[in-house]
Amino acid sequence: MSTTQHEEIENSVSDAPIAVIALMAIASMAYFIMQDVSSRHALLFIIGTGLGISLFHASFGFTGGWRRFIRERDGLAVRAHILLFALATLATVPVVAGIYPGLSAGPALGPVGISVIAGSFMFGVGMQLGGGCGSGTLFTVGGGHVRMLITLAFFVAGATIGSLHLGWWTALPAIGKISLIQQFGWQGAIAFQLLILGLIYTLVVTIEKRSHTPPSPLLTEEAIPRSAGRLLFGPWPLVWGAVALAALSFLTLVIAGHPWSITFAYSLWGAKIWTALGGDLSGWAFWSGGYPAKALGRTVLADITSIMDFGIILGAVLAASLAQKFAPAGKLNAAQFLTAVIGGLLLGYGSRLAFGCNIGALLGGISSASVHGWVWLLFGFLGNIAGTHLRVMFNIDPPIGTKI
Amino acid sequence: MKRQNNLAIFGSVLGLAAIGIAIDHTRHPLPEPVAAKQQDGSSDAGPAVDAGAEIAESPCAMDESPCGLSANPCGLSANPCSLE
Repeated sequence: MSTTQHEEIENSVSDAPIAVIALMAIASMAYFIMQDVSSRHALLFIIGTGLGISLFHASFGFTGGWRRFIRERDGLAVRAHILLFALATLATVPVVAGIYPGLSAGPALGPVGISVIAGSFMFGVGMQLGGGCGSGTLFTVGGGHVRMLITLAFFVAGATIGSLHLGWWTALPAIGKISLIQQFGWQGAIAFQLLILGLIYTLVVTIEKRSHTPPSPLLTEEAIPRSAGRLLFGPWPLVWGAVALAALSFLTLVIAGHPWSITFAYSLWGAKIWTALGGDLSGWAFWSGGYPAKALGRTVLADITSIMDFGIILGAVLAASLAQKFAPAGKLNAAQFLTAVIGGLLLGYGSRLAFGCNIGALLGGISSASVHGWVWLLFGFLGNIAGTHLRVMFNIDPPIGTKI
Repeated sequence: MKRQNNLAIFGSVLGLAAIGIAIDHTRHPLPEPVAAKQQDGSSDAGPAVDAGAEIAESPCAMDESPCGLSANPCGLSANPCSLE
């Protein structure tokens, strides 16, 4: 028996108990939340696990996909992200515009200003150095990647520090919140956004073609579901990921009453840890009033963003163990450790300044037809370009133009 | 790093996180039971959310300042929750 065969058998044996433990943890936590908090919270936790499974099985990360496009002009993942934005726009805009009787939810509307520009750029750099975005960090942590635990720890630290400085940043010039629904009406906002997304899609395909590599089609035979086994064990094509994430983020919208978000929870966890260690938050304006103060004074299980994040991690643990990919062996050298620390801090700090990450501000903002989501896209992508070059400087990747 | 080490580290971190959540849960109160979709101020009611702090899990539904700052840093005019 070869070494590879031996390892495969060992993995297949060792991941089964992890899948059982993950399933039991999900079921018991959902039951506990339903009993102790509310059935709505329990449902959102379950939706979180669905998001974790979808993200893991489809490997639906923004970081790697954007890096492949920047380095190799491979835009497959970027086109899947555009599809997600289009589907989310179609689902979200009518709801936040209030056209369905009895169905209402608030948009992710953020102000357009220096804070979003600086924050999204920092976040973009952090994505490449830390090796994950808001959603990507959670599902790769759930996949058992130890390096991402370091990124997540410093993500939390950065988001907490960001909450301390947010008042200073938001005092910088801004032109306020701009809703395209308000500007063009909900039908006009959808049409305008689909037009912009179509133009970006065309641009991506054009760049791919110019790189002398024929673009891989997003919709292939592979995208047709043929067996339940694949749904359970993965891997999923990116199209499945985009559809599943659009559907689950829509459910989040109508059940939670607001778009899916991730990083507020990180600030909250950091603030709770800080106070548990004896730190004083009384001078921090962010935590002195409004929802943040309420969340700080309550159990973490009452915070929707937190329980959905827990769900994403546990969902990814389950998916990874079903796919026999949990906690893969890997190296962690000094450069990777350092970039995980710096990347995590930038991710956390940037997300606070930008009023969210690639989910809360980018997906939530664009699907709510908020201009700050589009600003996030532009400066977040520029940050990714800078971060991709920094990875070369840190010797994590070979020079750009070289295939990884 | 060997897979067994990864599993040990991951298990330890998950265990610590579970203990932390349990301690936090026992030391802090639950949200007061309010009408169905009003349990946490996170969302609910109508056009609420405000990415203005992503925060915001919707302070607007509670008639509270987005971002939890008194000076209304979100650059809004009168009503932070409205599209009008």
